[in-house]
Formats: sequence, C-alpha cells, structure tokens
Amino acid sequence: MRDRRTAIVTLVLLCALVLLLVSDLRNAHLPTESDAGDSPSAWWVFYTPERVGSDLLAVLSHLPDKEGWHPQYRTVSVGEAARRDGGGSVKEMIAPEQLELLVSENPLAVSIEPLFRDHLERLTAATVRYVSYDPVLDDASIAQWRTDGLLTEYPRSVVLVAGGEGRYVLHTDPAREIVYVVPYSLSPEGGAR
Amino acid sequence: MIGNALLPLVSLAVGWLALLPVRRMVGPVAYHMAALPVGLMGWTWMSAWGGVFGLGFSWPYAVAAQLSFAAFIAAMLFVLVGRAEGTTAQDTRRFPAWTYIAAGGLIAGFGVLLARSGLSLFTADSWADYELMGLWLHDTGDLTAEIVAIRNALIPSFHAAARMMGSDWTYAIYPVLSLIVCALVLDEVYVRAVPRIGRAWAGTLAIAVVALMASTAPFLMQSLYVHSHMLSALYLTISLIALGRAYIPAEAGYRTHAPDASKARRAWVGIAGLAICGLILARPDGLAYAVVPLVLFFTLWAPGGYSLRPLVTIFATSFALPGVVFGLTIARYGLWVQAEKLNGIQVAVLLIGYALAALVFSQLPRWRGAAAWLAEEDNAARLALSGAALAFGVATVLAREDFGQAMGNMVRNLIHRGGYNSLWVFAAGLVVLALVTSGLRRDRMVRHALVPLALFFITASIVHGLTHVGRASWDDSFSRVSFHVVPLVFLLLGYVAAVVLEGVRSPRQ
Repeated sequence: MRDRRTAIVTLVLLCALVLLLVSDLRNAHLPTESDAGDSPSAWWVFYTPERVGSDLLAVLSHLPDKEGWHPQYRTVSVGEAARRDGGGSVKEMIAPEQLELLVSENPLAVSIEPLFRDHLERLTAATVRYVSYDPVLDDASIAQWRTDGLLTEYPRSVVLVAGGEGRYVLHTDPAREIVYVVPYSLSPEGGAR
Repeated sequence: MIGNALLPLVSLAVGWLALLPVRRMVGPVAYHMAALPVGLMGWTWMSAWGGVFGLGFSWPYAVAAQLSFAAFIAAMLFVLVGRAEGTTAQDTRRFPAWTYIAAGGLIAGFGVLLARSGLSLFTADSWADYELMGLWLHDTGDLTAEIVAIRNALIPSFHAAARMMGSDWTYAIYPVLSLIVCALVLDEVYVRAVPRIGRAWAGTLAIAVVALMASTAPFLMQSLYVHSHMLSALYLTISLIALGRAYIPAEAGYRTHAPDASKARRAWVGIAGLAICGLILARPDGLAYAVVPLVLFFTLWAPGGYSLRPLVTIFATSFALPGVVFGLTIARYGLWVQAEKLNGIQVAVLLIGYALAALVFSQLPRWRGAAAWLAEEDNAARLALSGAALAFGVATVLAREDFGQAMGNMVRNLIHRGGYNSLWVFAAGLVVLALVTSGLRRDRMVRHALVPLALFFITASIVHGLTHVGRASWDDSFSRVSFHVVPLVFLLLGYVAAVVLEGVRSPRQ
C-alpha cells in the first residue's frame, strides 16, 4: 500500500471494525458463573462449562433434564457400574429381552425402553445377551446384600451389587424403581439359581 | 486425570518421530506446533488396524502401533520430500535440543493444569458418541462402519487412548488444541508482519490479534467443548499456513535448513497434506471440506510451475491414512449404505473424485494453452471460485426449498443466534475492506486468506443446504462448523493490519 492517505483512511476503518468486536466484551462474564443461554442476544449463549474432571458419571449430573433422554443416562450409569466393578470391562451382561420389565409389570404400558440398547452395546463391548426372564428380585435378597455391605448406589436409580468379576445380570426391585446390576453368581438367573 | 494429561504428551512424541525427515526444512517452531496434531492421528492408525487384528487398546499394542505409524509417515515424507542434505554442525545448532524440552514442557504443564481444572463443556454428541465410541474402541479395537459413518475415526480413537491411559472422560486435549491454534496465529501474523513493520510492531500486532481471537465467546467455548470443531479449525489453519509458506515464502522469522528451495516447498506441502488428512478424519463431512485446502493448493501450484512432486506430495500425504482407514472399513463392512451421515458409497465416490482430480492436475501441463492461462497470476483462483459458485448455483436448484430455509438459518445463526456476537459482522467488514482497497486486494497474503474463506463458506453452504436445513440455535451444525474458519478470519486481520500499518509508516507521498 503505497498511498499513505489511503492507508490512514483504511486504518481508521479497520480500527472501527476492531472496536465493534471489542465492544462485545462489555457484556462478557466468566462462562462458569452464569448461564445466560435463554437470551439469544447474550454474550454467552452456550452451555455452562462444568468441573467434572475425568469422570463420565459426573457428566451425567449436568445433562439437560429431558424425559426422553433419561434411558440413555441410566444406561451409562448401569454400564459404568458394571465396568468399575469388573475392573474396567464387562465380560458378559444378561438383560431381559423385554427391557420394559425393568420398570413395569406390563411392557405394553411403557412408551420408551428404560435402557438404550445402542449404549448398552458400546458399554459392554457387545457382550450383552437378551434373555427371557422376570427381572424382579425379592426383598430378602436385597436386604441380605445390604447387610453384607455389597450395595453401591449409582446415579439415575442404579444400584450395583459388588463382586461380579465382569459377569452381571440386570434386575429390579419389587416396586420396579431401581435397576440392580447383580453379579452372575448371586443372580436368580445365574449361579444362584 | 493422568490419562487427560498424558494423551497430549504421548501424541506430541509420536508427532516428533513422524516429522523427523522435514524438521530442519520447516524449522523448530513449525515442527513442534505440527507434531501434536500429526501424532494424534496415530490413534486412528491404531484403531484401524485394531479391528483387523482384533486388538483392543493396550499399552503394548499402542507402542507397536504408534511406532509403526510414525515410521509410515516418516518414510512417506522421506520419499516424497527427500533429505535435508549438507547438514553441518551449524545447522544442528539451528535446531537445538532445548526446543524439545520447551515444547514438551509447555504441553505437559498445560495438559496437567487443564486436567486439574477438570473443566469441560459437553453436549449429547460429546458423551453419547465420542466418549462411548471411544470406550467401545478401547475394549474391542473394532473401528466399525457405524463409528466411521457417524463421527469418523479420529476423535473416538483418541478418546479410546485417553481411556487406556486411565481417564473415564476425555476433555483436557481440547484446550491444548486451542493453545496450538493461538500459537499458530501468533507465529504466522508475526512472521508475515516483520518484513513490513519491524519486529516490535509485528510482535505487538500478533499478540493483539491472538488476544482478540481468544477473547471471543465462540473461541472460549470451542476451547472447552468436547467436539470436533477446535480440532477441525486446527487442521484447516495448519494446512492454509503451510501452503502459504510453501508458495509465498516468509521473509523473516525462520531458522531453517533447506539448501534446496524445492525441497523446502515440498516439506511445507507435506505438512499441509498431513493437516488435510487430519481434517478428513476429524468429522464425517471432513472429506467434503478437504476440497478447501486442496483447491487452494491448486491455485498456488498452477502459477508455481506445475511441478509434479508437490502434487504427488499433497495427495499422498492427504489421502494415505484416510485410504487405510476407509479402505479397511470398506474391506470389512462393504460399502455401507444404511448408516446415517457418511455412507460407504459417498466415501468411495469422493475418494475416486479426488483421485481423478489429481490425475487431471498431473496432465494439465500437456494442455499448453490452458496451462499457460492458469499459470497467470489469479486465473487459477478465479477459475476455482467460479467453479465453486457454479456448484453452489446447481445445489440451490437441486434443493430449492430446503436450500432457502437452510440459508435463512445460516445467516440468522451467524449474525444473531449462533453466539458469535459481532464476529461475523466484523469478518464481513474486513472482507469488504480487503476487496475494495486495491493495496490490500493486490497483496498475496490477503488473497491467500480470502480465497479459502470464500471456498469454505460455499462448501459449507452446499453441504448443509443439501443435507439438513438446520435450526436457529448455537448448536446448529452449520453454526458450529463456521467456527472452523474463525482462526483464518484473524489471520486475515493480521495480514490486512500489517499491510495498512506499513502504508501508514511509509514516507509521505
């Protein structure tokens, strides 16, 4: 750019453009402090960053509360419970052929499957086997495991019964509110039969 | 935490090995900045072969896979680029060992700091796809057609690696990538500005440009967002900078050893090709966006003398690894058709299309009239932009209704709903300023930024206009994809500002 006058005019215009961009910062705030995402004119319309560390389960507690997504969240919780008990992987997982039985006596009354089959495949390295059985546990077994200190609670109404060594069966309580990840050896469908 | 801190460091070391043949030709700054992005691709190599051999992610397999990946890339660069001959003791001093310690220390320190912060931003794509696909790859090593179709191979593969290293949630690598983007923009603006305005002004300008970029809300968001956008922006930025260095050599700022200028050019073209390779593997639509740097290469290569070796170098480095990944996936699963996003037929058609383009380019010198016309300055760029505009026109006719709706959502997101605040208004103003001011329009670096910017938006409009109309929201696909050229906008700012400041400082006329 050889013409100095043109250069000065261009510089003024360039500064005006930069000022426009800098003026956005008047509304800036720490993204972790608030979520102004409701307003399309907010400086930060995105989700709020969260301190979850290296823990996938911690991510679940910050996800949107959408009813249709709950089965996905619960599946991650089930899978992670089994993986952590099994030393990082799942050798085998048995689940009811009709997953709806985990939440209702009448499968036809359930509109969305309580677990997400795709995620269950990924979390268990496709070792999940769908079998026909009634997944309801009796209260006495649950009470006994509680007394023995085998129960660990996971997010989204999931409880792990410890000691599976990688092989698990999915069950539910008599009220069908909690999913129990039960070691094969303790399950009525497995070794305890 | 350890997995999150370790992933960048291991990837950096793999990249160092892979880029050894060109390190003296591109110099320490570029070598260290390109190492981690190149090393990250090694995890894709690992998962591609893991499916064939039935191997999940484990340390012994990781060592073997990463060493073989580094050897594969290094051998390719060695054959295509050649050796930096005549290395002397002085040249060795030009590439001091302390730069390894500095780069490694910076990445390790930053990685640990970020891992300790525990901070990340996520959507369903982050945990349901990237993390769970990574988990699957970790357990089975099986890179399925579904993974390639929905998210492509690169990100699930390094999530699998982080899990192998002890992390259940991969997040710290993303801000590390944004740090490299900042370093790239800082270095490029500085190097290009020094001959015009001197070191002090160039340094100040470079810092101001990067500070401005890093202070924008979308840049901060993408630094923490567990997704493909910062990664794609990084690869696109590297490819554009490296192509610029290959054909518009920087006049300052480098301590490189390349007695043969054509070898130096091929070394930069090799780096650009590897970045294009990353761009292809980072997202399912990566194959489409690879057209941007490849067409830019064409616009530089034609006036640059039609030399065959840079042409072979760019296509070989861009497509060797995707060829392995897609080739093995097609060999194992066939031309998958039922999967969403990217299907096997599209992959095959695009790969054949790029191969045909390479063939046509290689034959161009035979058609003397056309070759002479294209070799004239700007004609290749004019042809490329005209071709892109024509493709855009055809696409609007093919999907008239959807296209109109998609365009509406795109504009709404860029200027209002996408969370960009004034960024795209600023970018539009900058482009207009560059186009209407003859001193800027004639500048090679300004044009070097304008051409890919135009190509990118035309490509993105075609991809999104034809495939999904989107919605007015920050998490709309086009809105997020637009971020890939945000570093380029700030490079353009740096180039424009350097020219203008030079003009202001020149003697009165």
